[in-house]
Amino acid sequence: MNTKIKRMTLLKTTICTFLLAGATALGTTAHAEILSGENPEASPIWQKVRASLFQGRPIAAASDDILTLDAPDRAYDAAIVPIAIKTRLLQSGPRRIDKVYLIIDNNPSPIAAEFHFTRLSGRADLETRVRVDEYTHVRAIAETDDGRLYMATRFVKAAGGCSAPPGKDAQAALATLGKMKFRVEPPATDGQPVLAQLMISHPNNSGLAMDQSTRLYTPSHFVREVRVTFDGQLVMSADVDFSISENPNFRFYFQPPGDGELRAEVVDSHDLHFATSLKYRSPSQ
Amino acid sequence: MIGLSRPQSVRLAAVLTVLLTGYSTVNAAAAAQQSASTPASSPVAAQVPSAAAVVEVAPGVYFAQGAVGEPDPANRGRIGNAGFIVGPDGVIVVDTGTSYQQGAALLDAIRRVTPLPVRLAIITHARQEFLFGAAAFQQQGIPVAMQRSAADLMRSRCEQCLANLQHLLGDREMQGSKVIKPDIEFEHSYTLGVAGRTVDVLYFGHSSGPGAVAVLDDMSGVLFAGGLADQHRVPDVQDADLEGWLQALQQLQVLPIATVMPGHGGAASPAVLSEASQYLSQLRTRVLKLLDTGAALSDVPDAAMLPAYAGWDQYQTIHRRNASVLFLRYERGRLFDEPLGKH
Repeated sequence: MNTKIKRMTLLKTTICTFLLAGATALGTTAHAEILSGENPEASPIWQKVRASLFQGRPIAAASDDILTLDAPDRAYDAAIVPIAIKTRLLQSGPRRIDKVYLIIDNNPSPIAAEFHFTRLSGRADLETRVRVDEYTHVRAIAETDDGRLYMATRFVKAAGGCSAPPGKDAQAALATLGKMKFRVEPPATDGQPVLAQLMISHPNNSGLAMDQSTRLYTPSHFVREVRVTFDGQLVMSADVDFSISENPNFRFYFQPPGDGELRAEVVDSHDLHFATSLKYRSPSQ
Repeated sequence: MIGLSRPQSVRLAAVLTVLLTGYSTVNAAAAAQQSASTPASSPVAAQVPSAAAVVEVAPGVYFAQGAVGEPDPANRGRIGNAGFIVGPDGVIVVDTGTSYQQGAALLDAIRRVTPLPVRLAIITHARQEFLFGAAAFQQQGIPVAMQRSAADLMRSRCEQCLANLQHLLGDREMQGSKVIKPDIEFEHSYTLGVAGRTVDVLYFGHSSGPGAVAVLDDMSGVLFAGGLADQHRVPDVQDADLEGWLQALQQLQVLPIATVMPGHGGAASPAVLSEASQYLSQLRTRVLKLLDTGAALSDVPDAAMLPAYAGWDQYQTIHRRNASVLFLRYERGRLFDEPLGKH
């Protein structure tokens, strides 16, 4: 697990370095496109991310019967922008979604999250909240288990999210660090995937926000990995970084084969481990 | 008076007197030159472009209404209300506008009304459209007062607001505007006697924002509500402690208030206070219900619609944001088992 995290970090660092080099070379046309949200394919940052993550593989524009991405056109709070990824393939079907990448082109670290789904996911939907540092394209890219890629893109007007000061003071945030809560919504019809929400108390400091009273930067400290299992079997895992908002919040589905234990394990960038679990009882029993 | 401590107000008045003696002569002379021709009891329109348009809403109480909407170059960012109270010994100003220029225009308006010196400018709360004009008052030697928490909030964020306004309205429009250092930072409610007229500064703790105060002119019963109430505009909960705000509105409603000068919108009857309460209560009820039913944050703005308020200014922006802000606050409160009022 840690090796994997280190690999992700390394990959992101490499991309960031590329991006910074690319950004300074931006012409005015490209800059105008960034401000208006036109031509998402031309985004130089996306070109780099794409080359790193997917090499030359084709990526189809997602039709609504595969994948949709919801995000506000203009965010009320750049530090907490809701992002909803909805998929239409059934995880129990012949073709299912294996991974979903969430990319925020103009964030300091553009690969915000990499979600891994299984048959137990029931439905590979994911809703979370992210920081948006500049006007940006936001992308959800789904990879199916037969290796095909589909992308949905939205343009979000918000700025300053990564450098926004936290909503709670550091002491209070530390006192509840790692506290977690599950909320489970039984489905209307038995046998349907069950909606779950995982809330994690964590400042998810980006390292880019200045404390206004001390004029010092708060060191980065953020959730790195989330693993959700049902009776020990993987439901969903997420490699994430500080693009995820303070108090990370994930809504996802799981398909319980019966009664069992829903469990979440979280590792942060200080290698602190947190866990919570919930006894799930199927409503018909 | 609510939470008013007389010894304190006396002490403060003494401090003010010391502070003010030096300024009054200069002001009086400057004002006298300009205001001789203006009758003090009629509405004063902008006679030259630089003076703010003010209306006399009660004898000696003047109101300068801001524009509807969000700040933009067309309204010059002047969306906040301001006003002033003229007593036998001088003038007390309530809120200072969004820019140095707006502050100067308010001063011009005052000089058209009276030659008396301006004793004090009170900033009711730390929002941009009420405070950047203070630089114009300080330049004339007029002390500026704020509640300490409002001053703290201003210090922590207003450099950024100023930069945003400079970007939005242009450096020229915002020329001379700055984050001022208040001359007086007070803690509690107190009574001002410096104008020779009893004016109460009412502080209820954290309400619509940290350090938000209302200003009541005893003689006329005119209340300058500041951030505590808007007329026909959606109140903004971003800085608020909702429970504290509702309590403050309740306390205001038992005072002998004849007319309310809200922070935004036109002069109103005291009913505007209960309207604000009703909106805030309905918003709270709706958001708590959404939280109970497990709504997703992305669905909250649409699901929180309160059509009764659809005609209010900023319903499509502030109301939708309010719903998300409260939803997150209550959600966090539940995660940390906090009571409703804390955040």
